[in-house]
Amino acid sequence: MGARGGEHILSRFDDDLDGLRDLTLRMGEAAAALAAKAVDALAGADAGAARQVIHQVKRINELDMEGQEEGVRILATHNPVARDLRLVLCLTRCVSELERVANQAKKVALIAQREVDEPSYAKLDAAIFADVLNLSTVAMDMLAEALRAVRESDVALSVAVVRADERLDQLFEGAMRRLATYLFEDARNIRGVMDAIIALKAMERIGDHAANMAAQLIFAVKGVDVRHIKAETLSEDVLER
Amino acid sequence: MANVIESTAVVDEKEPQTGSATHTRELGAGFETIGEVRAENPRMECTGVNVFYGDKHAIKEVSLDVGQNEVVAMIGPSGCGKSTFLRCLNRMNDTIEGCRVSGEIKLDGQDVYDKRLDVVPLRAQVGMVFQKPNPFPKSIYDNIAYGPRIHGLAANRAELDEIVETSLRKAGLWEEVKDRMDQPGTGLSGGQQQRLCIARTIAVSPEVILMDEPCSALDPIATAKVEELIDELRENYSIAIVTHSMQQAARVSQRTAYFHLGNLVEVGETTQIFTNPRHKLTEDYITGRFG
Repeated sequence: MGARGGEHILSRFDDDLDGLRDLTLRMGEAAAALAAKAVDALAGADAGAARQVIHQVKRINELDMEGQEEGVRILATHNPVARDLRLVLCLTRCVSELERVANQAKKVALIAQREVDEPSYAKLDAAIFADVLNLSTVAMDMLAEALRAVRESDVALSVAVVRADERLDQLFEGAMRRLATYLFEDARNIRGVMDAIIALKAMERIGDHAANMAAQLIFAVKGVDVRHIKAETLSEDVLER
Repeated sequence: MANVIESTAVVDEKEPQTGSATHTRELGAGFETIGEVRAENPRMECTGVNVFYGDKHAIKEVSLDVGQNEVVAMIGPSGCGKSTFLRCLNRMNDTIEGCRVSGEIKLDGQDVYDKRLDVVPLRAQVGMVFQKPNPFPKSIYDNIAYGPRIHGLAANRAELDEIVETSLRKAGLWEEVKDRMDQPGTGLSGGQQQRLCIARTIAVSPEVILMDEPCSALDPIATAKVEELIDELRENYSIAIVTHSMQQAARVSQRTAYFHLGNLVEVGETTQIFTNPRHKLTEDYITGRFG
């Protein structure tokens, strides 16, 4: 049984909720594709791909506006309560999270574009680049799973996504420590290190947005706000309520 | 991606259950209301109330308090027993042939079904406002003055005038009618008539006011005025209101009680009931999934 539950007497309400969920998932797929493309552009020093990412962020912004308007329309026309209200809130908040995912993709694309013109980042040790790729793999997986959790109203999967964010944070901290050593070695590495930090931070933030979406899904299905509960204490007891 | 995210076994939601057969099974013998039925400072305490219309068991072991300075909303589908329960609180069911009430209903600790109790003062203490405004075919003044006169609440005309004015002011109607007190109450608009009926109820100094769908015959503006009035009346009275409007229940009440097939399924803080109800029947009803 999903967050939406059984069917409403008013079938148009179901259609509207399905429509908002579809829009959220479409936007999610588009935002995830942009983020992946931005990382590829950085890895391949592909200025063309980077430009495409920057251009396509506008489409994500349009979907954000569309999703928010649809959420407001559903609130105004159907006056949802209980799990319906929570689902509408969850989906509109997910739309906001996805808009931010696209913004992070844009940041990475801007670095990729600059790297083509003035390589600095590429001069750094390959290990740093491997850190960005590692983080992006985890962040992209989290995003894909958060979207699947929203599609399937899967609470267990959402819990897994929230917990995965801790691992991503650990990877980020490890990468940051390694980056510091480049500055100690040679201060002229500063620009490359700064770009690497921005790229790493973008991946870490994408993971945060995925975890936020997962927390919203838990709220929609269970009515429990887990945003400020530590992942390790996100126990089954809480979720069985 | 299994290497990154390990799925956790979590008990998911209950399977959807629809159909009256399932509902009946869920609410069978031994059913217990979910939520706190008791109020901190109860004016009315109801315990194990049953109502029968002949062989029909209309209310089943319902316990519920109406607390001081609170509005309790009673919601549920037609025929669920919410109006029947409301009418038990001031013994309005006494007038229905074949109706039998058991259990305990107390007003300030006093059993309202005590055979020695006079129902006339009881119905002044526990006043009632009905779905359709029902002003007496008398002047606006006499609509309000009627109750205080028969209950002997005013020693002279000046005192009666004061009660009439105070009651109309509390009902938010004074400014609209003060210059036409001798005109018939039936000449007022629907919303004004309903507020006149509320003023009439207030005039006999009740402790509890029962409202049975008081806004169902009113337009949105008149409804808003009555709802505003309910909010103000809460400062001095305890109110139990039956309503079919989910939004009205959410707006005016502090606690909400959901009735289904004569059972009190769930009681809770209104915010909790409308954001995170605990019983599936409550959730299905308020979200419009009730089949």
